[in-house]
Amino acid sequence: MINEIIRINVSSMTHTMEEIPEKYKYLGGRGLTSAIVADEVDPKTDPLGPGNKIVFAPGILSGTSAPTSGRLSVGAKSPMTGGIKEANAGGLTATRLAKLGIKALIIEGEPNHEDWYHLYVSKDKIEFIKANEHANMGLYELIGKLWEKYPKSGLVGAGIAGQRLLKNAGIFGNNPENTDPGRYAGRGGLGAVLGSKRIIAIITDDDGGQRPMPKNEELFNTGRTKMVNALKEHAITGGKAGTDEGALKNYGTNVLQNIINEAGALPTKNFRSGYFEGAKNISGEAVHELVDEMKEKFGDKSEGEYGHACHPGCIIRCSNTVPDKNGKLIVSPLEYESAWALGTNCTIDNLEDVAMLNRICNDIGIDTIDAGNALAVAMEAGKIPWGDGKAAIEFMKKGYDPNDEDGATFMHGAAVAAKTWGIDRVAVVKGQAFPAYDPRPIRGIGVTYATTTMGADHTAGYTIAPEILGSAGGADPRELNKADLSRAFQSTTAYIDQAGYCLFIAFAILDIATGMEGLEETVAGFLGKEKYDITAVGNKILKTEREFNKKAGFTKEDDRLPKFFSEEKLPPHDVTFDVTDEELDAVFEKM
Amino acid sequence: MSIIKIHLFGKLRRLAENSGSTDDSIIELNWNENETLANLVNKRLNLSFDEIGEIFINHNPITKFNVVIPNEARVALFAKGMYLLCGGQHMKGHGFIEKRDKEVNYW
Repeated sequence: MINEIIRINVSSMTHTMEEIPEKYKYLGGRGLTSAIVADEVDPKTDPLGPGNKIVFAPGILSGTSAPTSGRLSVGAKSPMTGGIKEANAGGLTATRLAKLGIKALIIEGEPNHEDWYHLYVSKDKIEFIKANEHANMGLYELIGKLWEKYPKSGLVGAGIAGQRLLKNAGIFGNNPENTDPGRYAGRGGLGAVLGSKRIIAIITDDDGGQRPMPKNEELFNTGRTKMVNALKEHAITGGKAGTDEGALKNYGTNVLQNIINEAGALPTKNFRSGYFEGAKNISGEAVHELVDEMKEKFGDKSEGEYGHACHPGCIIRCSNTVPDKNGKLIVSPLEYESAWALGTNCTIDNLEDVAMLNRICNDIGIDTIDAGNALAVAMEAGKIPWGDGKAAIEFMKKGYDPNDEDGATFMHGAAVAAKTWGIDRVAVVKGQAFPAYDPRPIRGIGVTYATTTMGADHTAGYTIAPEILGSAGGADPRELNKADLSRAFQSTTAYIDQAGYCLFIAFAILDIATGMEGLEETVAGFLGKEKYDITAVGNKILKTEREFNKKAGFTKEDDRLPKFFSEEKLPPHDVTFDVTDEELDAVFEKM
Repeated sequence: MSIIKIHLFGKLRRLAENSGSTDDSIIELNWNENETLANLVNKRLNLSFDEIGEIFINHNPITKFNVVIPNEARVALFAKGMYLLCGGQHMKGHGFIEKRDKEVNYW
């Protein structure tokens, strides 16, 4: 299999292999999932019906020796937003698929049976494996059982929530050690789409596969060296775990818990304040100290770790494994977004409780951001006391019971929970809950929350290197208005998603020009092109996604934040979101 | 008496009496009229800016070292490498991490 699309039909329980069409030749990751969904899925189709398709695509560089490039994109029409969706994650599957020469795996059709299956993908065969005994099983147990039979395999799939077609179901993925199913393409309910196809897990075995080779090896290797050096050199992505150097290796993404708190922009108690007194207790620094404490106490038997890689070939290593007081793993990873959603937003500041809430999310198969917002809605509704971690854990466990109405409502995510429980105060755009940055003091991120096709999503518009923006005409990003800035960021983010690089490479190439050259040269070298126009490629992806959503019925009225953000001042800055509708509309009018 | 509170994070916590990650690592100092951030950091805390990442005064990110510290200020100093990342970068209105050569009025 080289450069092939594998098409799995769950109606006929068959598969076909297709050579990748010319029009998709230079696409990968998000670019490819969105192109296939846009070309093959009716925008008005039922997301959980026979017309929807779910697409898994490694990034262009996944499986190569380019550093930190093993991301997997998953795309479909989203049952949560009703629009096009791409969510991506680390884990093992992207590099495994890439080494088998698979550019995309498309699952389509409608099952005409009540059985559950796994899909086994290897060099020699692709087969359905009946898996009824694994239905409704917690994912920690499931991945353990699957590795007993298929060791070293990449696993992605739908957990309990996805199998029950609940809207906040994510696509889980096993971590490189198979100790946790926490590598989630979590957002938008894609797990429910896979569940609607009666597939639990996709097992990818790359035994006998080969590393994808660049067409222009010299250019690729030149770019790779530049990228590696930039990532190692930079204060954020470089350094070494356990030393004074390297913020992400020591504190993970949760380094932001204290920083955003000091910025007065940490959404607290369902977006009532930008400052949380308990933030320090659940911060990346607190995890770091706990890991050190357990290492000192239990030595190598402690399962706590920072500086952990989420996929093979990652040299940023921002992941972690959070231990309990006995040194045993609670969850991996505990990221900033999850610690915020399940902790700060619910005013829970007990680290072990927050880690346990994250573990339950991973086990039942739901996205932590929407889960945390849904928990806050449950607190608004008086179902759980604010700040009570133990009560929140018991509430979340209702999700295991298929007959528990609150559990099912909660697992549909914040928007459905608010509607069901009669709560007006819910932070969602296009049905998807807000991430961990309040848009009142950070208005630029609010513009992206409002206008991205994905629903409220912080990863849709990263503040990308000015050098990248420079390639679009040399503009200094500090001279741009919010609309132009948001569009530029969304476009370049789409490009990085397509390449398969982790978005965090953006930090390293902010201040190091050769890092930017490394990005361009690795992609161009791999594809055998002289130049790969970042902005043009990014804009094309965005246009494809916007067009899909327009046909699905979205209008500019859907590009708005909930009203309370423009009416209610957020302390400590005491500001509202005052970006006008005209400014929001300008983001895509000018593209 | 007029004072300012310096909140310390990451490796800079070592300067405070309570240096645990779940402690409030705070130094209280007298407020000096017209004192700049540079003077406070370099002279009174004996730190170089190379050791420092993000800086906030009263929850606002600071890009210029010559800013004057107001009375009763809350100054937050993060150790090197600890910056506003991801969505936080939008607060500065650009993607630069370490450059402090230009302020953006983002309000």
